[in-house]
Amino acid sequence: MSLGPFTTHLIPFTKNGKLQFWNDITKEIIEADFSRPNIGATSGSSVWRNDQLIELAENEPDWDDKDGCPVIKIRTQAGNLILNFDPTVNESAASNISYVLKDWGFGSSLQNAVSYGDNSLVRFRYGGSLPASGSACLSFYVEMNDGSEPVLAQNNNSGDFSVVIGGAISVNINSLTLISGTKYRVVSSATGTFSNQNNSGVIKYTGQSSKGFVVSGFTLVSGVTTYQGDIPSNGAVLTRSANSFQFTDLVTQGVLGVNQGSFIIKLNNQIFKELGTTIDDFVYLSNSADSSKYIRLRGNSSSISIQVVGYGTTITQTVPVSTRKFAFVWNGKNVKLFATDTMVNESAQADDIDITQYGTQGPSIPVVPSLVEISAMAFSPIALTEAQTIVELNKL
Amino acid sequence: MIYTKVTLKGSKAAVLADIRSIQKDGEAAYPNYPEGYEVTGSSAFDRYVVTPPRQEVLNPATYNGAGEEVTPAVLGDFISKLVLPAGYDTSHFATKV
Repeated sequence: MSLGPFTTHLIPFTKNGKLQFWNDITKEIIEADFSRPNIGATSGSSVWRNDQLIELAENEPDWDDKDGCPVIKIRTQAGNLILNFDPTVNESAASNISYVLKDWGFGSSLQNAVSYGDNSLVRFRYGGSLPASGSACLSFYVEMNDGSEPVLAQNNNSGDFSVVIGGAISVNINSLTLISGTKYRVVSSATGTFSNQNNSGVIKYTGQSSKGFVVSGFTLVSGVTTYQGDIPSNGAVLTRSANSFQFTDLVTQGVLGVNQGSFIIKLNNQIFKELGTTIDDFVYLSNSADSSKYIRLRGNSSSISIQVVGYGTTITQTVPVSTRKFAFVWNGKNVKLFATDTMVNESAQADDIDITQYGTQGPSIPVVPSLVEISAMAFSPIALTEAQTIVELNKL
Repeated sequence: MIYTKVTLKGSKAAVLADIRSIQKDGEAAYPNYPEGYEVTGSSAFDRYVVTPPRQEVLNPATYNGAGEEVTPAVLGDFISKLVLPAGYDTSHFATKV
């Protein structure tokens, strides 16, 4: 990516774990304050890197390489209702299973497994504590003893085993994904009334195959039907807080000009596909001394709006929910808003646009998608022309 | 400390009342909790994180070999965990642990 007039680009650095940008004017690195407070004993936020499942430390930036380019991950708040991600003891009903040591090869968070034998007996192990009704998503890792691809059944008389959510096996199998070798991740979900709120897990019936297998890495999230990532609980319900980050003092650092500048951002996916409530401040450019002044991006499942507030005339510009690329340009009292490759609003405000800081935050409830990836961001201390901005947007 | 972390424990109504009493800039941050999105302050670390109140399990249920419940779980108070900005005054929370 080469953004000509933009002088500060997204460059997360691996060597020190910081979320940093390169400022080409001052030839200096600027750092963001990345926030993800631990709510329990650990962060509960895990990432896959080099086939290893790694749990991030409190406030450790959540980013990764994707197709050779860095992306910042903005995750939602979500809780794992299974007490032990890597189980060694019963939590709820269990029968005819055993707990074994097993190094899954995924890192320290997966060193055990629940072992299921043949189909001579009904075998199951459950956990979690769901509300009486609603939606839930259960994910876990499985490896068949014979190395075969597991066959999941939505009944009790076929396949290798069944998934139970809230006491019933009538669940959707969202995905069966090969992780490495013969190890798979299963994602399943259910919506409705849960006949037994404490019973979510895996069951093998006598009418199913004779193949044994091991499972571990359980994550059960209430209120959503899609995978929210692995949340490595260890003896208690664990909630992962939402990701948030902020750059401050951007004018002082020369990243933005005084009362003028440009900002461009590209998201890899839709902001929120299943969300009735609008999330405010998904992206916000604001004045650090006056929280009532800002340009922000907010959205829900049906619309995205760009707002300019506090400078005289409040602007609320709605753009299609499919929009992935945005740019904001301000110069004195004038502000221009761009979506995809079109200027969608231009206004003259009563006051100068005195933006000094930038931030992004994830939703406080589990939603779909479970994270929004920011694949490109750039600041300019000058206000670009409409033609320049469109050229830059087309490069993303 | 970069955050103020608090655990609330009590009846559901009492815990919800404490959550709804959280103040940001002199106004209620979550006046209609559980409705509303996470409120943040002027810095990235000014967080107002709330976890949904969940009932504590005092004694887990017991099951027979067929997986049938023999004795039900004994449930206790509702618990919610909060992450608030550093220096936030938590003295007014009635259910603070």
